[in-house]
Amino acid sequence: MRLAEQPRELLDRTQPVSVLFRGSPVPAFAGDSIGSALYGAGQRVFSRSFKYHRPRGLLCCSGHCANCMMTVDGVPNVRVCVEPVRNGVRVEPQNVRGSLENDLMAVTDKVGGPFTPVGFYYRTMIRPRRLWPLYEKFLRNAAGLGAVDKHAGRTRRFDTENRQVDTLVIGGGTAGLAAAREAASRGEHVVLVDEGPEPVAGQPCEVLAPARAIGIYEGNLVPVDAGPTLVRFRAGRIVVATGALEQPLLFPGNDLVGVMLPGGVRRLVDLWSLRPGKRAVVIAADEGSLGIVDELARGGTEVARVVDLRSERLGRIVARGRRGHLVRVELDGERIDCDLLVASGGRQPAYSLLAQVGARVEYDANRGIFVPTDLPEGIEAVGAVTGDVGDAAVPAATYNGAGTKGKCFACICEDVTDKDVKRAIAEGFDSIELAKRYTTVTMGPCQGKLCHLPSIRLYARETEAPEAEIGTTTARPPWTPVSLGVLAGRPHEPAKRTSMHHRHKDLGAKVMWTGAWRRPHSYGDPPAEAKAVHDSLGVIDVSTLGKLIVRGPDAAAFLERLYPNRYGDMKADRIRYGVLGTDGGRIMDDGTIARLDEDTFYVTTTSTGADTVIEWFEWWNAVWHLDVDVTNVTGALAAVNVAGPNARELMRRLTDLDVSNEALSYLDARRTHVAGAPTLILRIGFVGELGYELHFPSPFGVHVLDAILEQGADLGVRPFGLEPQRILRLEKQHILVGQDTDSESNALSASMPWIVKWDKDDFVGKWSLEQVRERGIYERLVGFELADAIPGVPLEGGQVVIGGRPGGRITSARWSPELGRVIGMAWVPPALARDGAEFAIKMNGGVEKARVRLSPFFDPEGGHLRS
Amino acid sequence: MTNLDFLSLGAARAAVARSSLHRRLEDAGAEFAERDGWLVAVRVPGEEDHVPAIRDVTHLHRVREGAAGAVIEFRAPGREPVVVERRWNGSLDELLDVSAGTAALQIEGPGATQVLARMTELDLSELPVVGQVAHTRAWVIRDGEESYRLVFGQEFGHYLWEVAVDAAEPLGGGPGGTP
Repeated sequence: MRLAEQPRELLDRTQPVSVLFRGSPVPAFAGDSIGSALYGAGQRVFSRSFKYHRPRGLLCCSGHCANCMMTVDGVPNVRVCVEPVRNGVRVEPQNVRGSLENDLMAVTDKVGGPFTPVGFYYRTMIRPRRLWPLYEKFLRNAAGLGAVDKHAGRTRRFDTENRQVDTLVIGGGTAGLAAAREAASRGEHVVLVDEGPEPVAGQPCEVLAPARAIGIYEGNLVPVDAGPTLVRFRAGRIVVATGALEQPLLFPGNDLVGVMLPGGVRRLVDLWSLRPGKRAVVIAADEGSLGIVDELARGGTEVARVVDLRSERLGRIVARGRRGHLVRVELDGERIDCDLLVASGGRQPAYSLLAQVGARVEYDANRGIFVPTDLPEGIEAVGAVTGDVGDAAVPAATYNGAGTKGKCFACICEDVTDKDVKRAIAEGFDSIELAKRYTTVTMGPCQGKLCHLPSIRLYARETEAPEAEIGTTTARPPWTPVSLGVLAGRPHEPAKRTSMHHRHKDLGAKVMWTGAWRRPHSYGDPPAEAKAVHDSLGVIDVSTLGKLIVRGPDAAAFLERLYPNRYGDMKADRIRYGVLGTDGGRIMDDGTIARLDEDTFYVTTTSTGADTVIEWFEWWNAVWHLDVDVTNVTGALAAVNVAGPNARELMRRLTDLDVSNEALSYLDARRTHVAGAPTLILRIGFVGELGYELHFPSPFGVHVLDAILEQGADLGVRPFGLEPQRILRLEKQHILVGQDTDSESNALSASMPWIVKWDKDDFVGKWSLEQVRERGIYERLVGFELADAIPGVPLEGGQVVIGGRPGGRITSARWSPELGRVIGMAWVPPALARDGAEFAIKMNGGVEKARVRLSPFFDPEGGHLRS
Repeated sequence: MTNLDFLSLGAARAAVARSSLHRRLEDAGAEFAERDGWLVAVRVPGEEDHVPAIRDVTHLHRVREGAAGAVIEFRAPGREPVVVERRWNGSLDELLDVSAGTAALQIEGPGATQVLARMTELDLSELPVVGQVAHTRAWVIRDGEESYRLVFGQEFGHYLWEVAVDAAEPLGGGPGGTP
């Protein structure tokens, strides 16, 4: 029933709104919570409990317990008691079969008890094992907390924001406000966060509300859940003012609809102007809670009986209900009819955040509460959380006696009764951490806010050990349930794109990931793209190659030490292929090295190896301290490779430089302008045809590519992607480091013994390679063809079979449109590394014959490359 | 010293330069004009309402890097070059111009600090600094009270622009031109 305007009400009665509950409109005002709106319309059952499906009503009205959880606009597990109304919001109950008033699953309450005691799932529904899927389905349907809308995940937006402040105050009550005001007056940058629903009085500083601190992490990091934003605070000083939490009493019927905590009743009356019941009984252990009598009077509720546990001893409390609603309270036999029981067993400091960050917790036996102490540096506590809760009586562990019927709940969220706790102790789970995990007390949505202290008290009595000895369980974040979306924030997945990327997409490229790069796999027809390189002209974007400028008087000496190759004798404007090795003589990367002049070299690396190679160069430079400077220009330069019989004619059209075969031969480097852009031309041939690799500043990427496509149009130019490139390079048996080689491959086993110049001074890996040379190699990388024309291409990574056992593996395999057959590369025993030798490979579910080819499949003499 | 002009944007004869943010601005409907050999987005429709504004300032920046450290300059009257990294005490004259390898964007206007706070954990009261911005490495430089510039590898241009505009939109921001 809605009361006349209350002095501190949050309602704006000039703004009526409508809530859609179970499809029907429920009237409310702006300032209502969904829970207060439903309560005002007469709704008393808000949910059905987790295991027994018992009806549950409003209890705390502060978003701590689980009693009011409903699904709001498709989002499950919303505590409607503090969720602000919005016009037209759709609210549905959850975890019921039938209705809130008539849940068919409530049969578990009547029948289930004996079959579902604590830990029953460790004993029942295990055998026969093949029926587990059935048991699981049954259990999942019988218990639970709401259902996730599988499609909603992509429609809600969550942001993450990072803030650095001098002081962060958590909690906007009296003590928190005072601390914030004090810090602000000292000129500190202060922010105060409060979980609501009461508004924070005054504005001592910047206030974030409603906002919940999730935990305190190392480095004074406090993530705060502020609705759709996660605000990550780094604070010089954290002041915890989280107050103290009212604790329920344990007695039969303590979960009935109509049993409430004083704070819950206070909010109903003060904030939302609602009458909490017709006739009430009050049982409280402290002065503050007893003050609820005033609110009840203002709310027009008749107060039938007040019990101050500080002065009056009670032995037995029983709450009786009809269909789950409170109708009567019995106090040591005295029967009082009522529909509201305000029961509180004192206030427990909300120390969890302090415990997370390292504070100790001590039991104060006089007041029956746990109090934080030994706060670490940079963390302060003020107000009720320090234990300053005033004079209070210590309630009994339970108020039921032998023979009293009715479930007495120790943990309302998880439906754990006092009998369950006793049984757990009897089964041997008598330490608080073990017992918690076995009974699941404190593991529900309230995370111990309403049940940790009462359950410890119960343990103390049952095990006859003092509370101080039992202690508390470890406090861990999140202190309050938080949605995964808030923790995930925005998906920031870095992707690298070349300066020509969008032109590729304009041309119909199918884009794939290679490492963090987005690259064209092909432009829709890999075989045709590969064929175009052989027949006319192809162009591929190779901007992703790693590129290093190595310069200085010791540049040549530096490279001599790093590579097994020889570089000191290179002439200017010439290029050599290089294979970079590890200390262990293993192949790490490959690429080209161009000498620009006496002191300057231009080194390229594989795309995916770029970062590793650059680090490797810088590391060795720091070790050797040679007079050389290494500059990473990978991103600064774009690169394209134009290849095919018409490549020279294209180059003639794009540059003034003499590009005849005599003036610019295979493995020459030239610096000039191409299409008006300053360019380094490398005449190399990864794809086996006459080709030029053009390196120029990235911002000219689109300009140069467009010029190539325009000038090459009548030359049959065709862009090609990574897939056709793989076919072409395989025709030449050009290795791909990491594909054809692994961490054990060395230059000798990979069939490149000519790379290693044994007469050089020491280079990285030299000693290891000498050992390998002496010891001999265990495997050889060879090319192969299929002996017979059969359909299918062998799997890369597939097995080579020798004598019925695995004897090697296939590293690359493709069908070549130019050659009209399947080609590949594989590791085989050295004895088989002869032209024409046959071996078996696993393929098509059986075994096929392959034949070794030691020289390139296409143009073995390299005539095309050198033309 | 050899001729490393093939690294230099200034050595172009008749080639027009585009920043790696170009296509994003094109998609936003920008008007382009040529400035110093660059195609610059001078105006974006709706930019008057985009506060803070996200602008492409790649064409206005210069980065020189080498063993001795790194220096970033922005071409604007009265702006001093910002030395963002100092490795060892070598001469800064020997640095290579690697501007072609970096792109730059500006977040400018009321709310810029909040937008940037949604992209990085870096302490924005201690700039300039190099560190992680949206999981990539970037230099963050302060331009004014609510104005920042990010300088980063140009290959991340498309990505960081998307992150910045996405962070700015719920706060009333959006793309702006660089007149």
